[in-house]
Amino acid sequence: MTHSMLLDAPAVAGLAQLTDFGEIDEILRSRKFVQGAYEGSKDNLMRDTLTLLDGPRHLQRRRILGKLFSGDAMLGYREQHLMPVVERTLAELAALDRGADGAVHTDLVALIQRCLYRVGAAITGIDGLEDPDVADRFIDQVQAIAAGCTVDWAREDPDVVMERAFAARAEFERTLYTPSLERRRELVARAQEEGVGPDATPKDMITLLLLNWDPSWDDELPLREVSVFLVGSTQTTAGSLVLLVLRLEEWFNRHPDQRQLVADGDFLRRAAFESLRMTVAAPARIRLATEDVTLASGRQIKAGERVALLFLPANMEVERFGPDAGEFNPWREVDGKTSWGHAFGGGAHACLGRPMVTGMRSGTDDAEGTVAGLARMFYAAGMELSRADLPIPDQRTFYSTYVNVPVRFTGV
Amino acid sequence: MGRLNVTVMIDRCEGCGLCADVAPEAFVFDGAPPVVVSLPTIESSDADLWERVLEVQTLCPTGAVTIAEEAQVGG
Repeated sequence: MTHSMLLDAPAVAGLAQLTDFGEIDEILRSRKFVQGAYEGSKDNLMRDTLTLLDGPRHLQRRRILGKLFSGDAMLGYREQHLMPVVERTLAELAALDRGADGAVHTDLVALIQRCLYRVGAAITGIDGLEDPDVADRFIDQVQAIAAGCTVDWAREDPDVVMERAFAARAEFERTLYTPSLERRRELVARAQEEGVGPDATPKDMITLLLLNWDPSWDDELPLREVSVFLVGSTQTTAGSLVLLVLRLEEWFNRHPDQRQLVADGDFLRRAAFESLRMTVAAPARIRLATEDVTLASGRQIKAGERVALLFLPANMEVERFGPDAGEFNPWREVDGKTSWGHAFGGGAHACLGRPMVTGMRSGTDDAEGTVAGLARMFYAAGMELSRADLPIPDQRTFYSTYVNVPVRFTGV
Repeated sequence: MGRLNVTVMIDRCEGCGLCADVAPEAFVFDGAPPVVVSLPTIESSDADLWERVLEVQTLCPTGAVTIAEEAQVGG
């Protein structure tokens, strides 16, 4: 492992940085490690949310919220929310003024966000995002909350990041969350009065929390859980899709004979998985050992020690992913493990949205995941990277994200 | 009366251990790195376990748990 693959960031200062795929796999699955990240937000924005819980409380919350991710629920999101939302968003795009070249020019980052955030809102139970202006304000709110949740990785003043996050969450609470909550409180109360089953109430996060309310929870918990879910379900997928498009364009520049494959669902699926392998949801996952541990490799970790798990170098191990593991190659064949490596983590805190992002779940293995599906629909609408303007990386964070990726659509 | 034939696709299991927490009588989470092994059948006479095993199938985040319900004739 080269030193350059290790992180030089305050969030991992003083921590052992693990890059071995097998060691990381073992720690993620082990019951001797618990969540050890989110130092800056664990006591405020993310307090007592699913991401931070371990043990019996984590199990309780998983049993409640896991219903959002059943096979049937996933298919429902795709058919009832994702596809209509993408079609509506592309229709909004078609209504925009065209440039001198006859194409619609826009920002890919914002476009992807409009699609994904509306889906995230539907899953959590946030209403009222039909108006594009409201949707854009909602995106700004969630992005500011996201920056607060991941403040450990900020390159800006953490106090400023948190101040913006709390202001955004207060606005989100007032304008969107509280009206949605009140609507669901009424529906749940009416359903309970009438003695009807859970089928009579909406299938979303707020409703599930209300139906399974635990008196030990504080009143603000659903707001935090919804906020954190919105961050997790939108930021990573949006970032992954942007990176997929940029990697695909680079690939097609080197292999112009393959450009027609943008209409091939299987190719896009392979490309999406390959891109996910090279994309991390966080620069490092951090775990805390609850007792002295000796890993199968012989590495010893002391009780109370926090370790940083670096997925990116692990996902580029040549022994597992081939001699060109550092390169994007949609045709890569991977034996044994899933082709995206550790992209979704593992163990108790594995990403619950993986089946939706990849389309892979028992019985629905041929389904199209969010990333490949959105890419296919955008390419079908004639998406091309702008020839005049370059993508702009986000310099405010250690995350590999972009603030702006200019594209044009020639077929909307 | 009936029975549930439970299988776990180990190559899909990401080791969250939720199955072993919800239905420890049916799913064992062990090893390094830990993996899940399961009993082959659950009899419907144990209604509570039956419900929890079905819940596991719904909750498994990777769809690694598959269940085939088999009706038993007679009895």
